[in-house]
Amino acid sequence: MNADRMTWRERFNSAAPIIALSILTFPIIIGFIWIFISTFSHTTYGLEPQGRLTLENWSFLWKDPKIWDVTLNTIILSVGQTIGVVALSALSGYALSRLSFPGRKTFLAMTLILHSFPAVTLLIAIYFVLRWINRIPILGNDIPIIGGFGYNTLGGVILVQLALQLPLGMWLMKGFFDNVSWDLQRAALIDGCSHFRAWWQIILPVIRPGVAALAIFSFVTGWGSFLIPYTFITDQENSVLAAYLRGMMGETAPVSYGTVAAVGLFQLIPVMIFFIFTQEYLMNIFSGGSKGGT
Amino acid sequence: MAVTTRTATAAPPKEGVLRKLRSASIGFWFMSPAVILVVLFFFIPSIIVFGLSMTNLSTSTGFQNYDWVGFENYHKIFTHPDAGPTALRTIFYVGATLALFNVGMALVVALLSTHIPRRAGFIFRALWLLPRLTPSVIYIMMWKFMAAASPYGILNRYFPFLGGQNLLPDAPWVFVILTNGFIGASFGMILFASAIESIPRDFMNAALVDGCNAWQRIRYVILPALRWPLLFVTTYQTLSLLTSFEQIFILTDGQFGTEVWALWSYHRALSNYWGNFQWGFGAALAVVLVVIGAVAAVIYMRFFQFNQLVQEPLVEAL
Amino acid sequence: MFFNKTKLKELGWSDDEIAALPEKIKNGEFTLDDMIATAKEAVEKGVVEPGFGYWHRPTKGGDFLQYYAAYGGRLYDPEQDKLIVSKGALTNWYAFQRKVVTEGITPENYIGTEFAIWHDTVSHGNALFWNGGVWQWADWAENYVKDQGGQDYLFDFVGYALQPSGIEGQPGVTLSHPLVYMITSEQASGDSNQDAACALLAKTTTPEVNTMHAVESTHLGILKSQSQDSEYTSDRLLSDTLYMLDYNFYQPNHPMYGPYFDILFDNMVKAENGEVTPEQAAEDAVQLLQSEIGDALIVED
Repeated sequence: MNADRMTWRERFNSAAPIIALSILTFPIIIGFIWIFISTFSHTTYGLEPQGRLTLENWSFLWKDPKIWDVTLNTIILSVGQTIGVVALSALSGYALSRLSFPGRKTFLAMTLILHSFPAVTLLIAIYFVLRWINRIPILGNDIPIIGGFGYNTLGGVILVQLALQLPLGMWLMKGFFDNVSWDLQRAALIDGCSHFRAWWQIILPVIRPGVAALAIFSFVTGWGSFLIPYTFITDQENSVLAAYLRGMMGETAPVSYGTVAAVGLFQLIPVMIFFIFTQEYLMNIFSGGSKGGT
Repeated sequence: MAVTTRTATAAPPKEGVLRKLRSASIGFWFMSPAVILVVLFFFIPSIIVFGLSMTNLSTSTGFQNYDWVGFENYHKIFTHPDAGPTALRTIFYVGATLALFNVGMALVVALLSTHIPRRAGFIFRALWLLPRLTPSVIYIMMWKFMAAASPYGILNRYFPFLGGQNLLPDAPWVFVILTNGFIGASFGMILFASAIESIPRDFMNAALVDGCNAWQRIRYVILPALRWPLLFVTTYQTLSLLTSFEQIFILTDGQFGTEVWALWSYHRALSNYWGNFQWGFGAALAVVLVVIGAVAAVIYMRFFQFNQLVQEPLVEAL
Repeated sequence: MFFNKTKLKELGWSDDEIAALPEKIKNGEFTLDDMIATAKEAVEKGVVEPGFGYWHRPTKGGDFLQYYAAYGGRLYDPEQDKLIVSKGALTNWYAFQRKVVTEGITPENYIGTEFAIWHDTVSHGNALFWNGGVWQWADWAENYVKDQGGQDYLFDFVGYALQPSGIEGQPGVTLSHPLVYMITSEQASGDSNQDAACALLAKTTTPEVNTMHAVESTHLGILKSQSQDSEYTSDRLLSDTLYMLDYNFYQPNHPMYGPYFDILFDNMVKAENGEVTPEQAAEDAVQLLQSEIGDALIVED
């Protein structure tokens, strides 16, 4: 008799979290089912499509060549930004964690406070900075693929977004480096490595999971970025998916909301798949290094 | 080991200075790319924004005819009838969303998803990340259809007792907090969940063997391990919420009493269908927000003993 | 304003009466009050569901000023280059917005309705009267009623007229929205191809090109010569609505117009929702206008 009751409670205990989580996640599940259904129908009453199901909303995939240009731009933007964020955060995170230099503490405090600056208020000021960069020869306007680093170039947008992500990146990287044992550090330096070599060849590989986590986070954020590209790129050809999507919605021209939802899903699905495969790495943010962790 | 100690104790003052310089210069080299970007796109723009807030720059003055007006914009803000209510609304919005979702739900979901089979945990966490990954236009459209009047609205269709009307004007804050919260929770959720997963298995099992039930284990083993993530998430998300407005912008555009400070600044500075962008005034509004955010960040850092986190690194053997 | 011919017939109107409606609105014989009464009758008789009698625009937009103008409100004094707010017309406008709710022909929480839903509802004939733009016709034909027959389906049951006046005897009004082409100066852009840009604009601002656009997306033409263009005149909707251009007004091109409109709209929403009385909302609006716009404003009764 006792054994039976224990099993019941045990079963309840192990099922309870799943039940609770399902209830909490319910709005998300329902909401996204709706989005999915609405891309295949003209109108929906609740979750039920009215009229025939249709592929028309997805026709942009084969009718609109521009969507693929825009997707390519989005890839370039996300990859460029990710490489930049990881590289610069790894460099500065190492210095903030392992090196002593004046202004270190202030800089650390500053980076956290910097996050309180809404990107939107800096927009106007950044516009001036980018226009100034335009005047620099070559770097301003003439780099292939990304166009340059000034206003109305993909490179400029990469720079800005990268800069805005740096505070978080530096903090995270510093955290990862902090977890690496001093023994490893000393061993590397005693053996005659310069700091740079120690960083590149010995320490960085140890925190690879953390680096991967930052890369994933940065890529995912960059993929969906809207405000900066929308503001600083005026040529439609250089636009990214989110800005293209916003451009589809207007008030004085026909808007097919089903197509809008379809384009939105089109933007969401790649990054979702990417995340599903890389979530394992994100989970390892805190378990890198030779000290601490599992 | 012995080598290290000898070098450290036997260093004469002159060498000490050299070493400091060397260390500093290496530090600067490592930091320089990041510093350049942060200066270019953060510091300089913020100074420009401070400067802007002292002018009456707007589309009616253009870039040629503006005047320096000193603190007049700030005076205008503090005597503006909307200022007080907007500030209170912003505090309410940030506090509620932070407590309920960005920290609260993040913690709950992280805890729950680490107490179930690993695969299932992954699936749920991926679902919770969906709102953040979705383009905001689509995500908000989904919420609008949740709240819409029957027969279109999802809630109204399956819960007829709600009345059938467009729910958004009835309960705007509910939807504002929900939409922002579901996005915000995923940040903390990832940090908390990975911190929990990195607690050594032995600790977790030992606690149970010692007679803890699940709740006690959470309280005595898990939560202490979450101290740094909690600090970071709370600070970071407070600032994020304070400065976020995009979802509210798309959802209600500040109507029905949901205009928060960041949205007010955006409306003034950049979003006017008839083209009168009041950059000077909008910048001043933004500066007020920044000051509040900075003060909040400093308070958090004090409270969570920031100093401990940024100890000087041990002097290395060079 | 669009109206549902089928539902008017169900209400008991004869074909002649329905056909004469646009003319009556134009002459001021059918006012906003008449419209409210008709819609209310339709709701009471069950011809339309409650709350589907009158569907004005669901989100912020200049269209609402049509009611302000319908009650005689003035926007702008070109001689003094100042904005005007007419208190009486403002109060009447707000009262109208509240009345459509209290009479049960518009839902209470209507403002904020998603446009996708609005389009679906009106294009399928679920409302009796609704206020929209001529370009929405193409939107409905393309995106909402394409399977039912597109424009033909719409012509079957939808009628269109000016926005009724609020004052008996005054003609109806409609809002138009002129746009301006602007070329960035050499000083601002660093480019010196202004002449080329101008020539390009000249090449695209022809009757043929613009008529193609107008017909395809059911927008109005921009050149008077388009009204002689055969493509334009053979488009039923465009030629039917051509007369409305004689009764339109524009929003003024004043730098402070943005804040002006924001204040008027925000207080309108409060009046319509019942948050404050229409009179109070008008008072608040004028006060706010005076503090925000100050010297650039003339307040008249």
